[in-house]
Amino acid sequence: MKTKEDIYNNVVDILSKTFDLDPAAIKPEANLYTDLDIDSIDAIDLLVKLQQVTGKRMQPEAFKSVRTVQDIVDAVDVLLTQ
Amino acid sequence: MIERAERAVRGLATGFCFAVFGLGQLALAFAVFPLLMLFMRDEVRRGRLAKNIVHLSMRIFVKVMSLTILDFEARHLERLDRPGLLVLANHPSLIDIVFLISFIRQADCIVKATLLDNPFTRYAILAGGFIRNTGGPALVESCGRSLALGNALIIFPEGTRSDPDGLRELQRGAANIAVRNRRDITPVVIRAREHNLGRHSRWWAAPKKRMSFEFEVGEDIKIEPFLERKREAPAAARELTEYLKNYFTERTQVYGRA
Repeated sequence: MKTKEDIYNNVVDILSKTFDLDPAAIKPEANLYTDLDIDSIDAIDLLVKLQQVTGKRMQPEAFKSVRTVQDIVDAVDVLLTQ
Repeated sequence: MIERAERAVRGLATGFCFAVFGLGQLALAFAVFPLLMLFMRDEVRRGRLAKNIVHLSMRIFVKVMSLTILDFEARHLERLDRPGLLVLANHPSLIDIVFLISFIRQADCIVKATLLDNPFTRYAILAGGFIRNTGGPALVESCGRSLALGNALIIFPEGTRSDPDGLRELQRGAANIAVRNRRDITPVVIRAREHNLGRHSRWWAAPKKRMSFEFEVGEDIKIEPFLERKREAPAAARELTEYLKNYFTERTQVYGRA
């Protein structure tokens, strides 16, 4: 997980496997809540998965402003370069 | 003419039922439950007693309603007579929960967190230990604890009353509770005819005919197959929600509307 592209591919993989989503529906600009139908319980699962992959703790607070798939990628990128 | 008179009488009878409910609630809210809070310290025992009191009150109220304003039929109620059930039902009317609690001795349900600030409901919720809706993952956990205590947990997966023309989109909370606590689901299909207790309907305008309700307790829906097919809990909850949607849609469309 180095470049943003790597991160993006990883995020798509997590989303499609965990939530049984069609990978084709997952685009950078897709809104997690309206387009991908992620609810509050899903969001916590997603956080846990991201932690497993990055090995870093992501604060739920930091995740509150996340709306799209690209937002996740950016948040993870910030986390990894910290 | 006779028809109109009959309808007016039914309107009055509905008002009477609301009054009975209100008076019963007053007695429970300001006498019985505060006393329970004072004199019973053991939360589990108090919760059990309070739930029994609510159950008995609802049985009496259902009796009052069936003598005055409605008919109802219930099938396979024996399936509800087991501890630790996760009971899911569609939600056509205001009084679905009244019936369900009258059928189940140890019923738990999720209540709006703000009802704790309301003096009419506060002590019933505290004494009964009913689950407050804290939302998301915390709620899934409280539901698991209630089931482990042997309560039957009643949830309307639509999240609110059905639309006038049928089932609403299901929320995934109920399926998540089932999947994450590994509990089978006991479904109850509710069919309401000629009722005026739905969303946006006016209870004081009596329906043309006497109200009639049907309750059908289905066989348990096993959770294991969903967990086997989808290893991830969120994916299993999604598939289960889809299954439930079809289950309730197929069974409520008999009369053309839920």
